[in-house]
Amino acid sequence: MDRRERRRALLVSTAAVIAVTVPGVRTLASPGSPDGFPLSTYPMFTRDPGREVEQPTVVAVSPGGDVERLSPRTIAGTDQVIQAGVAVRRAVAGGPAATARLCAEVAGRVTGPATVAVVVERHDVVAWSAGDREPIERRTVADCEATG
Amino acid sequence: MTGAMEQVVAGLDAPPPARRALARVEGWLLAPAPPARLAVLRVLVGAYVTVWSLARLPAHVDHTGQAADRWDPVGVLAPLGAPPPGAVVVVAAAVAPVLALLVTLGWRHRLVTPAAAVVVLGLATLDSSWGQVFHTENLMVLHLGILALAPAAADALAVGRRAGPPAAPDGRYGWPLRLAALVVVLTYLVTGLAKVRMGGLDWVDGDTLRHIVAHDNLRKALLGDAYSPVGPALVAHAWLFAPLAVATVVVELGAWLALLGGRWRTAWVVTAWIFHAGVLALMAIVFAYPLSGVAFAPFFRLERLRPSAWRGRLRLPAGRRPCWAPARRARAGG
Repeated sequence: MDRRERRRALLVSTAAVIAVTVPGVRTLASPGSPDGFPLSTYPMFTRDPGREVEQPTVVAVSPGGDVERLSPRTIAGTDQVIQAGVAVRRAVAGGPAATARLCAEVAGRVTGPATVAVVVERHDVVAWSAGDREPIERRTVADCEATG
Repeated sequence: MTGAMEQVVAGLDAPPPARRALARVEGWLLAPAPPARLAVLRVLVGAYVTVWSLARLPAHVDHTGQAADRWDPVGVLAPLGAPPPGAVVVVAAAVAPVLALLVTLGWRHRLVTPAAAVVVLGLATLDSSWGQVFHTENLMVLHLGILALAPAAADALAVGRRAGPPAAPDGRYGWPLRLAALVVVLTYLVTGLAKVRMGGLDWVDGDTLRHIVAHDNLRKALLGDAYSPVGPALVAHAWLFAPLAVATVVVELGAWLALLGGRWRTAWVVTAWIFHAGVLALMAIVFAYPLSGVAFAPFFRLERLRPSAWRGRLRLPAGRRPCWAPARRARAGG
């Protein structure tokens, strides 16, 4: 291995090690450092969500009152459940106009007759895991009729 | 030490112990390896990326239909104020598996592998640019990037390579492998540090992990996705989660043990794999790159996987012919 190759190997390796390590160092200094890709702080599963959680979602309610869970693709046009959840959470945080837009978007993907509802459900995660599927509270933020 | 390292160290006026430490690091990193070992890593990573890009092709194309107001770019796409043009995404999604296959074959490696690395980086970053950053493909992207910067990765097991005796072991085949292994170790270390730093030492008392497992499955159920039947069942047994939490942090912060080689390396790789199998079982989250084993490949003597190594092991005793071979004709004259 000649001198130039050795120098190049050391340079590339040093740069790679620094790049992968810097997010971790930033996390040590400031836990709220922003995440990135592929150089990440790997913040997944670091914080306790608590025993009671509020989860926004979108459901379809039949004329008989049955609640149907909608898939991530129906909710947000993606196969990624967390991204669908983020889309709903942001719509709820964005206020009535944003939730109404989300409701209408989802309603276009749901075949009727059904009412599409953007809801926030509060659950005890341990009770849910034990089989208690009913939410402690379900709050409807927006609703609209399915048009799909 | 090389001249380059000597100049840096002399410029830093580093004391002799530091110079010795740096020399040992350089010696470890640049130690020779056979060309087949790096080539097999290239084949494994290329094959994985081929499968990944084919499996993700529909989802990548679906990004062209995502609402623009959900655009939240990260990494190399961060400067883009809007999603990339649909045509660009479709072409990248279609080209990625082709490039990855060519990486596997080692065809025009010095041109194709960097191109594949760029396209795959773009697509994987696009996946994480809609409000949630994913952490399942970081190592795949980093390993492909290392191979792209290693011209010697196609000196063996490559289509179109001139026939001839294999090159001697050399540092040019060693440093990409050791860097790939080091990146794996650093990734797990950073992950473990994040848990302890962000979650505090309370993270290992078990409650946090128990709530995380329960919440993740709940969220999947409420958003109409498949969830694990095992995780919710285990949540009822709170005592399980303290040892699981301790094991998680030990695996992540103990990743450096893999660099010791031998049994320490094997033990850590096995426990890391079991950890990911556990994540799959409890939360239905697939870290496919580690579960496939490819993420841990840089730690091993991969040249033992090449076909010529198998032929040697499958050689029949002298005089014996395989059952599928036609019988020899008797020679004229006896």
